[in-house]
Amino acid sequence: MSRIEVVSSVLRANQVRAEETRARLDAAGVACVNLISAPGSGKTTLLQKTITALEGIPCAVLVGDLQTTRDAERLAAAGAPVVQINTGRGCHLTADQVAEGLDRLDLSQIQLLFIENVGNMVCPAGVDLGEHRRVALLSVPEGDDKVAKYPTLFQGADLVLLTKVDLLSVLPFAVRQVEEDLARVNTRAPLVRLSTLEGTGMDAWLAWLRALVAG
Amino acid sequence: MHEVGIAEELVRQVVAAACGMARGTEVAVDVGALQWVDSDALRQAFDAASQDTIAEGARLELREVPPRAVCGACAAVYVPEELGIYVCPACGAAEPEFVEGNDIVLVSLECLSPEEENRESY
Repeated sequence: MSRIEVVSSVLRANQVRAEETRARLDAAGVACVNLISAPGSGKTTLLQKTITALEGIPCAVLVGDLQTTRDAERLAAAGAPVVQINTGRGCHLTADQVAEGLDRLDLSQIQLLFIENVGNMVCPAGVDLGEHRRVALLSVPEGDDKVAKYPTLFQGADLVLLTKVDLLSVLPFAVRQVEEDLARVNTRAPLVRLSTLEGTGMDAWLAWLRALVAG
Repeated sequence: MHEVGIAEELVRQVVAAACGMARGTEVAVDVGALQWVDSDALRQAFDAASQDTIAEGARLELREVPPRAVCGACAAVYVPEELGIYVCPACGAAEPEFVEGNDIVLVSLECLSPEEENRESY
């Protein structure tokens, strides 16, 4: 029996690829935001509205889904170049997939790249894709206990969007619970209350994006 | 479910490290608690990913590594009181930069050389 000492990080291959992507985006002057949330929290709708509202800032989207090109079709209709990545059985995007997706975009034509991750609150949270900022979305119908239940996602976020706040009037949901739970995992990320239906919080979200693009 | 990707990369590294060996029998891995890896899911994924490689049938020896953080606000080093509560005991901020417990590390392998493998099969 022989023992072989290895001591190598299993996550390092992804990390190296992510750093390469960040350097490539920096060289092209493109800011990149990775959006992570459960399915149905409103990522695609938010991006549709955002792309339209960010006049003067050309955007593109890399969208990851297990199956279908439906999100990509919705986003393309908003007027931005979209690259669909079907992850198959993969429950999150990987830095490799994002790097390959970048090859299909003309980075010289855009200033802001959104990555719409696979809808999942656990698996994408630990995976660096080469983004500059990470945004976690939590929608009101999901319940006010999700920050406590999925701390890794919210701990790693640079911004937290509480979406569908127009439903606060009809659903039992304590925003204070979210604020308290967030204070235990992440006091760095602002919490923005957002409704794409009523326009609540869009100004704050768009200002945050504009500041990021301005560097 | 992210255990599948972890297992695939783990098998890739085991196969590379065990070059020239006949069979891996034990694979020691340090798993950072912050990676929220389910041990059973990782074992199953490893069994699946290692099929038809020299790592097939190897036992996974998993050791959980607890998190340790440096506070981004006051630079105090602390061990979070539990997973999911990251408040700095010195200043009350929750801006942890995790310096331990956030990685998955292939530590070592136990292998049989071709000669040992032949001897065992007698």
